[in-house]
Amino acid sequence: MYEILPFLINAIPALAGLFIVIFRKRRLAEGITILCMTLLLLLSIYSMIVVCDSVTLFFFEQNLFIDSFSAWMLFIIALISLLAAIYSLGYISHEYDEGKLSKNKLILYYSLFNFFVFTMNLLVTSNDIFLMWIAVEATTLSSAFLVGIYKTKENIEAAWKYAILCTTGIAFGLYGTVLMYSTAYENKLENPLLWTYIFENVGKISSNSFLLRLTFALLLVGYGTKAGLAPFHTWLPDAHSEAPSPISALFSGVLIECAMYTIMRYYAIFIRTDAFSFVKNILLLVGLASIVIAVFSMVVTKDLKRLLAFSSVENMGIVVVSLGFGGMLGIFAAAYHLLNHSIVKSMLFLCAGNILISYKTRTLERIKALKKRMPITAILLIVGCLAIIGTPPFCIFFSEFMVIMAGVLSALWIPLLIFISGISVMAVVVLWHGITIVFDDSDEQIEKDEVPSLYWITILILGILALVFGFYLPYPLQDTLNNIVELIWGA
Amino acid sequence: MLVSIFIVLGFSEWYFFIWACTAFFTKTVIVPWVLLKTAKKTKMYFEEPPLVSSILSVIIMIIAIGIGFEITRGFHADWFYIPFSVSITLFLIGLILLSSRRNALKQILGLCHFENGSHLTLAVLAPGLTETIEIGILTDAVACIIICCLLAKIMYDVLGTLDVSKLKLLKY
Repeated sequence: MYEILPFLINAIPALAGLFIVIFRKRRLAEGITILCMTLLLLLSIYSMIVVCDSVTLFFFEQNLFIDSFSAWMLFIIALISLLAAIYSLGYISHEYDEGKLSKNKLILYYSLFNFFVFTMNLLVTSNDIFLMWIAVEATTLSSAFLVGIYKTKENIEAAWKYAILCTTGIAFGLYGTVLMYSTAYENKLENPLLWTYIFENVGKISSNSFLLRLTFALLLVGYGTKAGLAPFHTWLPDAHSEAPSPISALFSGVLIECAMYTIMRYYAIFIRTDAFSFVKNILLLVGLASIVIAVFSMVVTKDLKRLLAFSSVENMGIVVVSLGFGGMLGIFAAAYHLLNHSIVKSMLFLCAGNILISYKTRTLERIKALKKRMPITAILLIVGCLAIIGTPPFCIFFSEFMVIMAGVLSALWIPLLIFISGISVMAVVVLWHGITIVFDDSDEQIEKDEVPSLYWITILILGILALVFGFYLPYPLQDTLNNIVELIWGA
Repeated sequence: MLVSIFIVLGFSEWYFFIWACTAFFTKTVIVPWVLLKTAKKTKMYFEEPPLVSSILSVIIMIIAIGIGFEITRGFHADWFYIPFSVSITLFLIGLILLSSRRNALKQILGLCHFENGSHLTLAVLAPGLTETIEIGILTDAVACIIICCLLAKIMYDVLGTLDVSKLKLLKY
């Protein structure tokens, strides 16, 4: 009975998207989306409980599977998607009422929303390494029109760059996947298409070190482009800032985490090969470059959503640096940070959505006196800023602290110093902007213009989760996280 | 060209005939039809001057061909040396077109070359791949071209041009 879970988790959002396209009714589209995301959340929690004892569920000749790592990602996707869908009820309705979106666009939005979630679910449940690649490409194709949905000049520019740069980058990932398959095939592995077979039989792979390094480098370029790692990140600030705010939350909170998941899947293979030291070094280099470039970009940017987008680049850099430091703690911190970042960044993007509705601008200089104009959003924004910079007791503090400890244990002092400097500068920049937005006001009378509760209730839920997950991971999250470390690092 | 390479390879491994059929329908029929339709709708009769002159483009392409064959020199004794070299060359030509052309449709053509190169590499280096995966990857590639063409059409409607060098609105 459990074996059908990998199929259900993919079929439900795909069918939901299809129904929305067929029936083309606004309220039905909204209802189907909420129902679909709720079902997915329940199924993801159920999957996590089922696979908690290191069980793996297979479907369709083992081409689809759910293990602890997949279940972890399914939970992240479902949680953020549900909250983004609830937020969309208000936000997209507002855009429709303002005339920015027609009814057709609204239907397109909800159908693509579901298809987008389907492609991400497919990515994290694919055992076939080529199916994994197809799913990553499909995430680009299903979300390109979500980026360009407003059809403004800036929107189209962002959508074009997103489609072209991501497709080009991911093509390198295909070369990496082909080399991975070819290496496994040459070494006569029984089923060289499946990640589980390659992973279990990696000891049988004898290949020249250069080829293994080339394979990982190509995979990193390919999936790193999608994850927003520097220097392949140039599409990210444009796409994340121009997309509707719930989609920005999905991009930063889920999509780039899914791409990072793929990198970690291959990391689990390469950790057992001769090329591992090269892998760690290149991950450290790319991770630190992402942090440094992101921090410099955050200093000069004048746009609120671009600021948050660059912060996403920086946070993916943190995950990659954690993998570069290696060890059980590094892997634990990386997987834990994926969850923490998804919660906090989604929270911030949804806050940005509220601000955009009221101020009708994303320019930082023009967003002032938030505490008077939107007191609830102001509190949530400050909470989000404190969380993202790693203030205790929020969850990101703990994952970043673990990354630092992993760095200390690995005795890589210079990378650790660059890492700590980078996140410190980021903290100053974010806090400064947050304080300026919330507390900086003039003497003029400012009218209160808070958004309805539907807009901030989801942000509040995310804020509570950011606090709770800092010091308590409920069953089965804690066990799943331990299983991920055991899977990647070994028992 | 891709179809003819697959037909020739088909005489050594029969499944390449299937690849030739799928490549024919997608890359010889569907993709050119979509591109021509987009070119008509956007009234693209003249291309914007590229970033690199024609003569320099030819020189760069020749260098790319040389690089493609040089990279695969280690496989000289293997049957797939020539098609593998061609695939790397196509990949490089696609990259050059993507980076040197200002016209959106020309960039999409670069993407086509790019995808053809990676498709041929897949065929040569990944034997025994199931047809479903091959079709999945091909469908992805074709879907990508179609979506890029739709975006190009929208770009023309909104901006009045297909010149991607005009896409400079998003800065800090």
